[in-house]
Amino acid sequence: MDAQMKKGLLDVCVLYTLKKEDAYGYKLTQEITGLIETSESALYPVLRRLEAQGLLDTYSAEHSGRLRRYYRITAEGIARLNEYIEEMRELKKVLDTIIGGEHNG
Amino acid sequence: MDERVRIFIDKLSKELESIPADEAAEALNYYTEYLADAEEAGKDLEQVINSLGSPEKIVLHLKAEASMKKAQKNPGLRNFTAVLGNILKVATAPFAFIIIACFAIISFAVVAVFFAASAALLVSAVVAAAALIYEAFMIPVAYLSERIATSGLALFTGSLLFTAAYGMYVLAGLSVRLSLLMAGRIVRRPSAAAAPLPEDTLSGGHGHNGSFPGKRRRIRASRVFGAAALLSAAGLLIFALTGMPVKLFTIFNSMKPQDIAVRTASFKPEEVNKITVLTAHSHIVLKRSNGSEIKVTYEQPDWLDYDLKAKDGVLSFVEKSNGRLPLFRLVTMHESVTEVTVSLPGSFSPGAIELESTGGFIYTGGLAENINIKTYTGSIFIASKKAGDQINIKAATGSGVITLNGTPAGSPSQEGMRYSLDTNAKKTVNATTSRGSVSITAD
Repeated sequence: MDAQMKKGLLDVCVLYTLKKEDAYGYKLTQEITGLIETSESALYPVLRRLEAQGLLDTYSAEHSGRLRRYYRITAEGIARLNEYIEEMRELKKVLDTIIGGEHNG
Repeated sequence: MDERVRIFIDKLSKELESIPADEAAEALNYYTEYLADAEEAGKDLEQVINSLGSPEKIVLHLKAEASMKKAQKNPGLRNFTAVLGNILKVATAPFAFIIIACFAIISFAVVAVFFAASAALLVSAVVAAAALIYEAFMIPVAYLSERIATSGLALFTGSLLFTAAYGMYVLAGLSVRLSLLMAGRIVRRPSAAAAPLPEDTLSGGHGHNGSFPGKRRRIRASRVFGAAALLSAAGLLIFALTGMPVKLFTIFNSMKPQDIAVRTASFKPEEVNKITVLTAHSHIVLKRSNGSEIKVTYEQPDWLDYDLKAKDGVLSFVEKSNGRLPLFRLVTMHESVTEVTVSLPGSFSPGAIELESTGGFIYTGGLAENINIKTYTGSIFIASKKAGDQINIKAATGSGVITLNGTPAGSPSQEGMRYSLDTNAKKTVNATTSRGSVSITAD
């Protein structure tokens, strides 16, 4: 996939995954790599930045004798995700026309 | 803990020493936890560690991100240089390195030029304002209007230069931000750390935490510009209302000033054997007359004072500032169209005549005497029209020209032009000027 296109998508994937359910780093990475091809260390800076932007926050919960950090989407994050989805919908309309046109021709 | 995990975490924590402690702790926590969860999920740790990439690489990206965040918050030259250094390290492929290096050099040059211009203008603003305020306080209190005018000029010049300096500063900040957009694209390539820059980077911030306060900054900038423009306009208004611009306009357009007081004085030739005339920027005219006394006529404008006396055989005239005009040394580079005229009786021959002016012109005509003439920017006119006044003429100018009856004369020397007319006469007129010209008419 084109590098430029992929950039925007990684944010969306993170927000989308967290909207379904809160997740910890490892689990989140597994789910994202299932959605989009990306290196496994790429996710940490993204999470830090989304957190800094207030699109997600974190909390700690105990798991088998150690603390595990969970990521959770915020209301602002949901709003941003919906904006993205709206944009994608428009993009999809254009893409459908282009791809449909190719099939007919 | 697994041995491989321990080695990885050790290496990572060593690498993390170069970034802020709280950021480092966060990152270390994340990766420790990540590996623990991977182990718990029963994954092959070797493979997991390999897919994470080297600790150096992880930290390089964190460093680049951190430096960009810092530069976004505070777009100074130092923070920006740190960003450029970090993105150069992130580049791995040789071709990419060349492109990134070009980008770094160009954007650094642009940003550095803006910052340098801003600093230079700021220094000029301070120096100009300080110099003019000093000038204002040097003006005697009696000339209150001139004092106010000069203070107004200080306000106008200072705030105008400050506005320019601030404009350059804003442009520097803007070019840092634009370059950061590019830098972000370089660092956050999907293969390494895919993610877009926050959308609000250019549009000025939608109020997310962590995005830099573009909108607030812009409002502040417009306020600074508004205040500086207002101050500058006020200064100009004060300056204009005092009438000083009219006076300066008169001088710099070689117009005769108003309010001239004509002073005259006469001296007995037998009591004088040397004449010295020194003006700031009034013309000096030396000529013969039919009278029997030495006559000095001075057109005195209201910003100049003078001292005229004959003592111990020396007749001296000295023109000086009465403190009314600011930047007097600068103003006297241009001639004032006022004259001090010295008329010598036909037969009188003093031992020495010295004429000197900073910016005024000096005219001598029909005199076969030993005369030393000196100016800085003023021009010198020497006429020897009568058949009788054979004189030697020596003329030198630093950057002006020497003409004889209207055509260029003289030969170039190390200090400028030099001209010498040797008629074997006993008397010599010696004319020297730094930046003015010498015109000789002879028949």
